[in-house]
Amino acid sequence: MLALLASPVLAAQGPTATSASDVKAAYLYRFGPFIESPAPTGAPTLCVTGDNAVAGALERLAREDSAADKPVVKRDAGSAAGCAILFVGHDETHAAALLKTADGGSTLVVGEDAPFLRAGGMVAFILKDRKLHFSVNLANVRAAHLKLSSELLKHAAEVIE
Amino acid sequence: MTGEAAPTERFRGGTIRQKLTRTTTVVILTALVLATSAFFPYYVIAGRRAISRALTVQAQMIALNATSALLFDDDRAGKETLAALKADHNVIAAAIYSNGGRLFAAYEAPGSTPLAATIDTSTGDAITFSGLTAAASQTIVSRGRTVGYVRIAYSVRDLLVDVVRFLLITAAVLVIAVFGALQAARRVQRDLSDPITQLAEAALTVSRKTDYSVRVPPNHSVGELGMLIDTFNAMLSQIQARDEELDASARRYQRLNEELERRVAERTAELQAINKELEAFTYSVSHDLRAPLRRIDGFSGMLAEKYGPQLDQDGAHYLTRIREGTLVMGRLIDDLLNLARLGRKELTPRPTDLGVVVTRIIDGLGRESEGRTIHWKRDPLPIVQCDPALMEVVLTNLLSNAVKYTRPREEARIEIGVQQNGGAPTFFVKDNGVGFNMKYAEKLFGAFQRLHRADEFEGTGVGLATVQRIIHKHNGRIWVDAELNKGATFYFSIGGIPA
Repeated sequence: MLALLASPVLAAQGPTATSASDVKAAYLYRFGPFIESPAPTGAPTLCVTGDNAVAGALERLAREDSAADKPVVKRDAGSAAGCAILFVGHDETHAAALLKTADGGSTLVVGEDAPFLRAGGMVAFILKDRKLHFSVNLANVRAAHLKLSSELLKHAAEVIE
Repeated sequence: MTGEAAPTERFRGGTIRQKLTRTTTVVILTALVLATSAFFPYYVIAGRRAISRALTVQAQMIALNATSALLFDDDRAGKETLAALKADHNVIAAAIYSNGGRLFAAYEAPGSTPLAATIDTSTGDAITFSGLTAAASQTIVSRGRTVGYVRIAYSVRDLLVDVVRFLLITAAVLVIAVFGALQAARRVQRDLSDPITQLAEAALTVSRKTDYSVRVPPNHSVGELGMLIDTFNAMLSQIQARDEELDASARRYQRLNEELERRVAERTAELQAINKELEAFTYSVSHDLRAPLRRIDGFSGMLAEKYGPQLDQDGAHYLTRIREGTLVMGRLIDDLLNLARLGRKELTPRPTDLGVVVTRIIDGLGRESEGRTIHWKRDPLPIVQCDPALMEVVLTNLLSNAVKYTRPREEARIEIGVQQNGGAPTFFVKDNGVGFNMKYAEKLFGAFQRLHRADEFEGTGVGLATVQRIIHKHNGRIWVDAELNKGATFYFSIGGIPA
């Protein structure tokens, strides 16, 4: 976690943004512009479930953001419906069911660790070389009729076709 | 006169070719220097502007590509973005900084020093030049927020190389242009200077050797020069023609002169021959006349002697007249013989005391001057180189003439003198006799020419002709000064006979 603390980008986000949750929140908050969705545009909704720390950090980021079309944060989302991004935290016990709600919708489902991608998840945070990265399962992304920009994919630790 | 210097050496300012070369080179140099000094700053400024533009584009590209790397804290992607700069060898170093001004990713060309770990974030977007380096500062903005900075250090070596290349090209152009100018000058030399040199040399030849046969080879490469050469040649032709004409006429005159001289010589020879013939004729006639005359004289003498008393008065008178006539004729024949003999006689000159000669003559004139009052005035005369016998003839003639033509004077004055004025002495015989009109002076020395009637003053008219003959034989001169009734003075000089 010390490497995270040293990261200049995340450190710049604010004096308190020092935890892994803050980094995850910052990533989630920034994914928006890199997602191409068939759903109508406008202020995207960021849904969080099973990780209150990340939810809290997101809410803080949204508060500090002065942009007009800044994302809306929704805690404890029970389903993927209406969410541009759905983050499934470690504490979520019904992950599989939640993933099902995203089928056919246009929600980017983000979870924790690589196995999540095999379970139908699209983006997963992974810790590698004491630094937070993310991997992408492109097949699952396509199945949701979404497109991730190459600019984002460039930064992915692993992209599964 | 120093004379032999080549025409071009004698005049300052160099040849046409040198002048042309100098002028052309100066013009080219000036043009190039002007062009270079005008283009050089423009070139540098334009070069800097181009670098600025390229650098700005590069910095913006890096900023754009680095945005997501910064957003997702992907320094590897940041490095990769920067690595693209490798393609531009002018990039010395580049770096991406976080929005806090701390180094995020860096790139440096091999052997170059990396950029600083932190930067002053207040620079904004700018391109600055310092020395051989340009620096680009670019802010990275994402969705209205500054997320980082790009810095690029850029070498302007290419611009320097371009400038050096520009200068080298200018120098090359200069060299080529000067070489071209030299070639052009050489051509102009051929077209302009050569004909002029030929002209000058031809003019020199003409003036030194007065040789009008030289011609300048016609050259029509330059109009005026060609015209000048043609005119010069035409002028020479005219002069030559006139010169030849002059020569021809001089030769003609010489021929004419020779012809004249030849004719004069011929005529002289003819005249001399005639003269000789005449003399021979005179001599033989005189000689042949003597025999019959002697017979007339002899028999008339015997007639007077034997039959004189038997003749009456008239008969005696006629006989006397015959005797007188015979006498006169005898004298005339003697004179003529003398004159004729002179033509053949060679001079036998020797030192002669003229005073002695004069004394002897005066003594001999005693019979003629009997009963007369004659005042003789005699200068002492020098010893001169002459033929004494002939000179006695001269003086006898002159003195007896003086005695004869002073006969009407109660007191005759006869002066014999000499004038020494520089050269040969001039002798004179002066009398106060009847004289004569000077307009007849020329007749005086001709044979048988007389100014007085024989019954006034006896004479044969041969005496002065003989005198003149003798004087001329002595290479001398005789002339007379006289006035009617006031007397006459005969002058003569004898020169050219070595003493």
